[in-house]
Order: sequence, then structure tokens, then C-alpha cells
Amino acid sequence: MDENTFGRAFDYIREVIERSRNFEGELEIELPDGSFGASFNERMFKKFDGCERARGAAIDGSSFKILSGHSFIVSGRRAGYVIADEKGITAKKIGDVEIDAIEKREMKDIFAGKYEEVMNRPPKKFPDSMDETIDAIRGLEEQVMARDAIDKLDEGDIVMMDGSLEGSEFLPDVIKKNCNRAMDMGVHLVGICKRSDLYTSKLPVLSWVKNRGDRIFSRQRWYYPLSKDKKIYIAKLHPFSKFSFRVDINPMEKEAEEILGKIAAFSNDVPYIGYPYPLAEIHRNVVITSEDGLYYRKALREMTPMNGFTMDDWDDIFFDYHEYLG
Amino acid sequence: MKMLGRVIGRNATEIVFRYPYSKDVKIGEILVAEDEEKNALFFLRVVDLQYGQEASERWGLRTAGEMMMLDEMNQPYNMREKEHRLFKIGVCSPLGYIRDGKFRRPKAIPPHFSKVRRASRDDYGFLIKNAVDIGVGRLRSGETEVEVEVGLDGSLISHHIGIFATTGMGKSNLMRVFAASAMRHGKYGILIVDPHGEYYEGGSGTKGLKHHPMAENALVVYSPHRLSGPHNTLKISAYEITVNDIKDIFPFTDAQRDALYAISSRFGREWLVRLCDMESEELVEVFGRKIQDITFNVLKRRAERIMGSDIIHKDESVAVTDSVLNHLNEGKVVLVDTSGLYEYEELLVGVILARKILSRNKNAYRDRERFGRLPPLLITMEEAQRVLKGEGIFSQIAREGRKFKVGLCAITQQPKLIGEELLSQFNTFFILGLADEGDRNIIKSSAKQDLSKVEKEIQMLEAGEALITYPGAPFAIPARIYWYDDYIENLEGEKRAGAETDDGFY
Repeated sequence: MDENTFGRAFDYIREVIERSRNFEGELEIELPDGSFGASFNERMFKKFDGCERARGAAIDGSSFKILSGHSFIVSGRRAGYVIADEKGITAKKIGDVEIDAIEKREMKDIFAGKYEEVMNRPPKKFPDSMDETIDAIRGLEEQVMARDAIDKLDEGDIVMMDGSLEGSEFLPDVIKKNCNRAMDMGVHLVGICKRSDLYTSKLPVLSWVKNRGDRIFSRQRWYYPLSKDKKIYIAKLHPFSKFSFRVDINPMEKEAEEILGKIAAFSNDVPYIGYPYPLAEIHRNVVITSEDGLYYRKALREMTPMNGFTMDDWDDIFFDYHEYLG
Repeated sequence: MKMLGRVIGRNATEIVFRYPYSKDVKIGEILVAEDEEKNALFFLRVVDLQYGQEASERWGLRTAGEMMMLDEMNQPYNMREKEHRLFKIGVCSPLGYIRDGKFRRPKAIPPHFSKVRRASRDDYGFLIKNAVDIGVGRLRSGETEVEVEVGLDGSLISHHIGIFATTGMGKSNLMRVFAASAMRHGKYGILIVDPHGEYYEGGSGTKGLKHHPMAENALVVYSPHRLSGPHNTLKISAYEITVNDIKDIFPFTDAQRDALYAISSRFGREWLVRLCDMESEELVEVFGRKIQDITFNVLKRRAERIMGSDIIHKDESVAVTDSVLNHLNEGKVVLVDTSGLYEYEELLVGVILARKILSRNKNAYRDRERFGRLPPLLITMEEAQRVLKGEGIFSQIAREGRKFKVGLCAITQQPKLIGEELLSQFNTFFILGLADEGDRNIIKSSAKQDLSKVEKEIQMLEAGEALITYPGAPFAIPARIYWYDDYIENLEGEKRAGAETDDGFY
């Protein structure tokens, strides 16, 4: 590689850094399901107080590709939730690991079947790949868990989803249904993103907001309304946190500050300062690790000879020349 | 018993278990892992403790960093779900297991995720079955005492005992308890040479052997000084001293040694008195000028030093050694107080008595019936590293004493100065706190139990805590030695209770 190759790449990075430092104005931000206009203006930052007490549920899911047979994949999924107050976890529901084989030709039917179980009607949009299908099914299962949690909570409690409420282009109706249900029950529904891909014209949105927010409200909680219509915020949930997060609030909600204050009540756990600890806890409970994946792979492989097949049969199906190349 | 944790794994020489963040386990604690399927109990000794967290090491580093940052800012914080996120790991050395009521060596491992709990008194039934007639303390699990008496079977005393500890860890308390325990039975003769004068009266507010409720019958005391209680004056006849005795005490050149043997050969039992009384020129003539006067001059100075001692007499009839031997054979504790004497005098007393004890038992050995009636004897030497090197009567006893029912109790704070070969002759070790790594290493390599995993425990032993090893012990037994004053107070209580019962009976 010559120096120009690096040079071109770095020119792009330089431009991104400069815009994140200096930009002020309006921009259109892309979402998986459409876009919205956002202002980037320092005067829009607001500080807020954390509540001392709060009760809520945190929902998360995990999926792991166990085997790839090229035209089909075997994956494991798990979703669950914990119910917590500002002191600790009070209840939890962790689903079993669901292991499914998904084939390219059947993936739409499988997704449609799962979707219909939840919504009693077919989906409007289908994933294009097996990986997307697995993610969409996992998202669906998380929404089912969220619905269950909403029913268990009381008015004024909060449901915290891991990820954006706008994150899945295949599940908008499912999310909307849960938002409606939450509003009916007086429960606040929010999505909190560990990672944000909000991006527009060479401006890393989160970085822009974080740098200015910390400068304006050093050692205080603050939030920035990225979209008041869609109720998309970026917030620093603990005065001494090094991180800020995108928080999507149920678009039907009117008041954001009180909800952010409740999230802040969960965000002073010292290993995760500034992040709601119930979300950290549910992540730990549902995550399917690579070790788990290896175990499931081994268990499936051991079933081959027990069912009258040879290990060669197995290897023929799952062989990948990349492994041979090393 | 409450469950403490669960076995995680590892192997036949090391078992690790997880236990809750909020619970405390101590190095040296003895725990049991339950095999519910096979109805077996695995005994585990905690040899190390570690931190555990259900997250990566990086998580721990980061959390500590956050805490430090908030501390600096004077900000309050808390950690939730500690019991889930944090735990501790106990590393254990497997001691063995009980199945069908029998204690077995650790040739098997407990099942995966076995329940781990603290051992109860009932679990130690196999230890209680072991004969312990010289009890010295209670079984200890970490810092906790268990109601199981530990010590050793008196038949082991002729297999030699080593008591190893740095100053202040409880050597003399242990020895006092040992002697007091032996005095209860009258089955063992125990000779204690006491250079510090701490056994009879006690000291620093503690009691001595004279306070033992059975002292009147079970204790005989010899001392060159006046003592507050009944005692005999320590006297040794010059005619009892052999060349070999003083060879163990003073350094001699080959020529001087040859000369000593020549003198002894010529004058017999009178050799020391004659060497002292005759002039060097006269001796040169007597030995046909084959030995130089310069050699005699050196030997005479040593002889005069010995004869100048208050405990040495020219009178052949003034000697206590036979009486000491007779008391020992009656199963008594004989305390020879050598405090205030010069080191050579103290060593000389020990050497003469040790030689005579071995010699008498060797002679008795030829008569099986007579020998059978002799009780096992134990000769106790303080600072034993002074006499347990190379040749000499104590080394000889260490090597061949057990055959003749003569055991040696070596008390030292520097076992590394005792030859490894000699130390390997000692079958019973009482290991109290040892600060020096060299001392611990020599003990580890000479003990009759594998001590490789208890190095940390030895390092952490507190005053009065000990590990006891002897052949036949299921493992190195952790003990808390009785405090002597408490021990004899209990004996007095037992004595009073016995007397009251008798009064009532009649």
C-alpha cells in the first residue's frame, strides 16, 4: 500500500473530526425506517435531576450463530427481563435458549410464523438474509418479553429496552403496539442504545453531543433533544459518567425529563456509572457467549453418530475451505 | 451444617471451590465436600484464597478506577448485585475422604459442583478414634477450635519429636502442656533439661510444672539452686564423665583427642580428676614423652574448668544420675533446672544423662522381659541445633534410640541448622510459627506428611497454633495448643470433682 491510500482514508477521518468539533446547524439524520431533521445547537442542552427512587424492567436478548451450513444456519437465541428498583433486582424472567435451523428458502415463512404468533397478522416487511432474520426474530422475542414486563409493572414504572425503539425496520408495528400498551398502563417505555449508529453527512452525532454537553454541563446530568417528535434524546445519566447514551422515549409520552430522571435512578451502580444497571444485569443473564456456542455445536455434532450418521457426513456439510487455509 | 460453596474443579492435588462474596473462609480451615451419590465426605484444607468476579479482569480494573474517581470527588456510590457479580475462590489441598466409615488417602476427587461446608465435630470421628494419650490441644480449623483433642500416642515418643518455632510462638507452653499431659498417666519417662528456668516456676505471670495438681507424685526436680518447692540438688560426679561426653562440648584437635583417650585408657574412671590434679610435666613423663606438654596444658585447662563447676564433685558417691534414671523408669517427669549454669555445664548435664539413659536401656534390651517393662523415655533438649550436628550422643540417640525406647525431643527455632539426615529420624513434628523460609523448607522435606501445600498456613500460624505431623496421622493436623494455665486449672477441676465424688460415695 502506498502513502496515498492512507492519506485518502485519513482525509475523510480528518473531515469527520473537524465537523464533530465545529458544526452548528440543521441536518437530516438517517434511520432504518426513514429520516428526521435535527438541529445541532448548543442552546438546546438541558440539565436534569435524577430521581431518588424508581422501579422498572430491563429487557434484552442475545443470539449466536452456532453453525453455518452455507445454505442454512443453526442459531441460538435467548431473551429475558429483570425487574428492579433503585436498590436491586427484585424479579427476573430469563427464557430458555431457543435453537433453530433456518434455511434461506424458508426464512421468510419462519419469520412470518413467529410474527403472526405475536401480532395475529403477517409482517409488512421481511428480512433479506438469514442473519437479519435471526436478529428480527430475537427482536420480536424481546418485544414479547417487554409486553410481559409492562403487564407486571405499575403506573409510573419504566421499561428499558436494550437498543433503539426505532431500531428494527421489520418490527415497527410490534413496537408501536407495545408503546400503546405501555401508555395505557401508565408505564414509560424507553430504548437505551449502548452503541449508536446515528450518523449524517460526516457528522458523528453522539460524539458531537457528548463533547458539547460535557463542556457546557461539566459534572452534571444533561440531555439533548435530537428529535422532539420522535422523542430521541442523548443523555448523560450520571454527573461523573464518561459516557452518554441515546435514549428513545415512547413517542406518545409528553414529558421527557421525569423519565430521564427515573433512568438516572438506576444509573449510579459503580461498575456501570451512567448506565442503568438493570440493563447490565439482564445482558449478563441472557448473553450467549462463544463458549456457550461451542458447547451447543459440540452437542449437535455428538448427535450425528448417535443417529446413525458418520462424522464424515457432518464434515461434508460444514466444511469450509477457509478453515483449511488457516 | 450450612453450605458454604460449591466445588468448581481442578485435580487430585488441588480442589477449588466458589463461595459467596460476603462469607469468610480462613487459610488452614478444614472443609468437607459432600459426595451425595456415593455417600462419601471429602476433607479439604484451605491453602489459598482468591478473588472471583463474573466478569472480565478488565471489568474489575474499570470498576476500581470508577471507585477511585468517585472517592476523589467525594461522591457517594454503591455496587448492586454484589452477591451475583462478586465471589471468592478457595483453593484447597485434598486431605482424604471417608467412605464406609473409613478414612482413605485422596485418591479420588469429589463430584462436580459438590456442596462444600465446614466440617462438624461428628465429621472428625476418624480422628477421635485415633489413640491420643498425650493430648496437647484441640483440633483447629482456620482460627476456630473444634471439640476434638489432638496430640499423640505416647508410643511415638521414642520415635523422636521435633518442636519448631520462632521465639514467642509457644514452644515452652507446648512443652509444659506435653509434660503435664504425660504426668497424668505416669506411663512415660520424660527428662526436661531447662536452661531458662521457665518450666518449674513458670514465668511472666504463667504457671509452671510445680503447679500441676499431680506434681507431688509425678514430677521430680533437680536444680543447682534453691527452688520454692521440693527439689533435689543437681550434682554430678567427675567419675561419671567420659571422654566422649566432653568431646561433644568442647572442640579438640586430633592430637588432643588422642591424648584424652590415652589418659582415659590409663586412668579409667579417674581420668578427669587425675588430668586436673597432675602437673603437665608429670603427665608428659607418665605417657613416655609421647604427648607434648602443650597438649596437656590445653586439656588441663578444660578439665579444670569442668572440675571448677559447682555441680561437679570429686566425691564418687555424690551423683544424681542413677536417681534421675530410676525416676524416669518409674514414668515420671524429671525436670533438670540448668538455669544460671554456663552453657558447657548445661550441655554436660544433658550429655551425661542422655548417654547414661541410652546405655542403661541398651543393657536392658538384652533382657527382653526387663526391657518390656521399661516405659518409653523422652529426652528434651532446648536449642537442640547445638547438639544435633555431626556425631555425639544426641545424634546417636536420634539414629538408634527408638530401638531402645529412648526418644529425643528437639526444641529449636532453627531447624535448618540440624542436619537433614538427623532431622529425617524425627517422626513427629510440632510446627508452630516459623518465619524463616529456610527453616520451613527443611521441615517440609523431612516431615512424614506432605507439607508442600501448607507453606502459607505455616507462615501464618499465630502464637499457640500448630501443625502436628506423625506417621499414621491422616494429614498434618492443625491444632490450637492448650494454654498451660488453663490446662492445669482443668486438671485441678477434674481432681476436685473426683474427690467430691469419692466423699459422697463413702
